[in-house]
Amino acid sequence: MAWLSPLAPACASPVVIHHPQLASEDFSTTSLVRIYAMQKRVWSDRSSIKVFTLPKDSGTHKEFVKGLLLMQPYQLDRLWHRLVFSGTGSTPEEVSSPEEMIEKVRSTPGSIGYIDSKFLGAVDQRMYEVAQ
Amino acid sequence: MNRSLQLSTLFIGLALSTGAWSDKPTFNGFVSQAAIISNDNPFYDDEPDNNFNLREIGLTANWNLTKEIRLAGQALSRKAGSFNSSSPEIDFLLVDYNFWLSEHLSSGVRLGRVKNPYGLYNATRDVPHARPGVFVPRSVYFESFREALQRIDGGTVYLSNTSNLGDLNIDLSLGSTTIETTTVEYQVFQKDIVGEFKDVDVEGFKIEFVPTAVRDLTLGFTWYNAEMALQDAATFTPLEQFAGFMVLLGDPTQFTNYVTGFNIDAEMNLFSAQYSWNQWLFTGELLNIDINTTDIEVLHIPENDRQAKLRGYYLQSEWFASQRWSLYGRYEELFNNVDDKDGIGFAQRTGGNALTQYAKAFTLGARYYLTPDWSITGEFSNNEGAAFIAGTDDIDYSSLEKRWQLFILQMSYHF
Repeated sequence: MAWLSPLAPACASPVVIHHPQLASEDFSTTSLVRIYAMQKRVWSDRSSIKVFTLPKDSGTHKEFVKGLLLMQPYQLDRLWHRLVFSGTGSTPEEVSSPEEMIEKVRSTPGSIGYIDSKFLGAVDQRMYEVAQ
Repeated sequence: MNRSLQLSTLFIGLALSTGAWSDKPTFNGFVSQAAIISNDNPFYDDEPDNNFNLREIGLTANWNLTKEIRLAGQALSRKAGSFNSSSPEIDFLLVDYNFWLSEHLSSGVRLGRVKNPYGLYNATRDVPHARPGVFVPRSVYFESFREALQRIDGGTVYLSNTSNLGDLNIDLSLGSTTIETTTVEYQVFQKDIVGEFKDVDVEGFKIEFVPTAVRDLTLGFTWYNAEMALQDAATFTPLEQFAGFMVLLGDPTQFTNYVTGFNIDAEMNLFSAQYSWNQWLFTGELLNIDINTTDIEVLHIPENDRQAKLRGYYLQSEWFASQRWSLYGRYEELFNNVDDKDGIGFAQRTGGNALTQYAKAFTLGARYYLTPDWSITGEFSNNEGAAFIAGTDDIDYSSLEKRWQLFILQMSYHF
């Protein structure tokens, strides 16, 4: 699925990272949108998806939403408000820094997150899709 | 506390006692306070004046016990108008059992007190940051039916499916709810009569679709039926009946003092569309309600059933200009009876004010985020007709202005 996936680019920009055991999953834009909208809650083997986000006012979060989800940050905000304040769902867990994001995603089975590509040097290669 | 709420409390107690949860509970909340400047007509107050009678406080808890079972609850305190007490109430308290969960299909049931998934905004109508302005559009989410629609003691069955065509979400709801205020009485009779509309039976469904080809478009349709009867209505002895007839011979509009039976059956059809284009969000909803009033009795004498078609719609545009600023505009209309748009027939029949039977409003507003959690919203609306006023206060309905302006500032915080 690598040709459909948000690839790790040469210049600094957001890139999706995931738990090392999830390499065969679908990380297409459609799938990412459904994961971050909290609609897709399990992977293909029906194991739980754990979603992490960076703070809403971070540049990487805004670039991730616009560049990889092809949405605007306000749309995602409204979706999450609707879920939590209507009792119909949960919101992702927010982490405070790229370092925490990498550590949480590495150590939490079924997890997905994103970081700025400049931090990819600190990430296990099984945790992101590499351009072919 | 009714049976479904007791059941959900029992489920929650049982779930907690097993100790088998996989996640920690999360807490969210919000608070808002508005300053209302309404010098032409009373708005959330008895008199035309400035007031602070709009305040909301909510605390929400959510707990994923297992992949399939989730608990959620929200306490809400809402002061809206001089009538409402702001004592906290349970807005929802539910057990969500997601019994079918795969990559492309999810289905489950929510039991207890659940939010009514009516239209685009009903489920979060009291949440400041989830609204497109100070209020949800009042032409579709009007105050007098708020309590009948905001929540259900019962359950919702939900299904969401993803295919090549798009994302489909379906909710089926069944249950009852309780009205605590006199807003329906004021909507119908423009006064607090003997008896009350209290218990409401609700059933309905909502379908929402996001096509794959146009992922920025959401289409929705909601059907709901709500039925309520006047409870503990006045009773009259034969002598009192005779005296009542004498009064009505002189002034038929005094009938509101002698209503002994009244049943309202409202069937709602709500069409929704929302389209996002870059920093712009365009929304439109059209509501048609067939209102059947049956079992009408005045002085214990049956009257003919009545039918009316209510129509409300709005067109709204929001511009998210920057991370901090958003601007919005909305045009909306509401007619309590499309066959009597100016309310003249209503006035002749009941002696009420024709202006209360319709509303046309143009609203312009701006929201500024001081931080991602704190915001201040200011909006100005130019109104014709008074249907948006009815129901929340003990107002002198005979002296309303036809054209009136409203300015509101609202401060809100959420976490």
